[in-house]
Amino acid sequence: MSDTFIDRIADTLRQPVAVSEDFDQRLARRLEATPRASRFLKPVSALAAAIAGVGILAWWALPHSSQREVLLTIDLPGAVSVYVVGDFNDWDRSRTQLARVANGNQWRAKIALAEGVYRYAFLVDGQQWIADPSRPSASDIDFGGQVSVLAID
Amino acid sequence: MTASDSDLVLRSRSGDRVAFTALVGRYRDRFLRYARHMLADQEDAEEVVQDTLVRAYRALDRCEPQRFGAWAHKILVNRCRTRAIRGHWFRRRRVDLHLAHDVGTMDEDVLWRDEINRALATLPVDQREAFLLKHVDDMTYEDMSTMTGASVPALKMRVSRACERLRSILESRR
Repeated sequence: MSDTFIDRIADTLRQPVAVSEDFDQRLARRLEATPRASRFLKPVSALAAAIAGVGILAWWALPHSSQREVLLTIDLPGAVSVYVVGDFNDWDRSRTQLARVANGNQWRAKIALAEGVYRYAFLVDGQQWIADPSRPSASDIDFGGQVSVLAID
Repeated sequence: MTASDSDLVLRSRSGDRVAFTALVGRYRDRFLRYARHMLADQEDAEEVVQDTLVRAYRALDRCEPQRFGAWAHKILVNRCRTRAIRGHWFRRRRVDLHLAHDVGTMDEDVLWRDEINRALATLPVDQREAFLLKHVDDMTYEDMSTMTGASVPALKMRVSRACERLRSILESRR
């Protein structure tokens, strides 16, 4: 038996398979509920994606009204750098930096979050973890200390 | 100009959802095809592919940007293997019932495709996986080894046995 027979099988299996009409919509919903990005695109970018043929997933790329901007602030007069680290940025220590405001005591960052409950803490000068004193806190087994809890509904 | 996978991954990491949407568009159909043939069930296949893409999105920081396709495919292979082993007897029964119901109305091409899918579903999971990666996704044995964790000789044996069994089943039906 030559490989022609196997090639024929493979050719048949390479044909596209059926996909449900709502596949992209369901995926967009799941991605929407997956915390990751902290920066959002302008609507024109999503429109360009739609024109490029990526379908309903372009909806997911739009900044939604269900996402809320949250201002995080903390008073740390002597700090050199402050980052916020949490579920919404995959606990990446270097992704979301707070900026020092004019009077020099307060640090702040604005982030956009979808509906959900997020744990986070501030990382001060690259080594000291501080829970946000303005929000409820909870013990965190993975983190090994207190974290703040932020609920978006 | 078409953006590279590496560029799209880096943009996705910094919050560019359009970039990740483009990655999904690039790999979705290929992943669905693999999962459909591994699991012999459209609903299971779609669920596993969605799970794979969500996991990939969540863990993008652990991906070498230029190897996104292979990295995400590896997640898919693992998810399919787990699902295939867990759902083996149940899925086979569903496939058999489906075919028994539809055979009378199928044209020749559709019947041939269904016979192949039915034969595939009888292969042990490791043989089915190796056959699809080698003959449908056209991967090298070295890449397959990286993806599955199996040795190259073991993979060659699995592919060989899969081909032998498919020939045996499908030739008897032609």
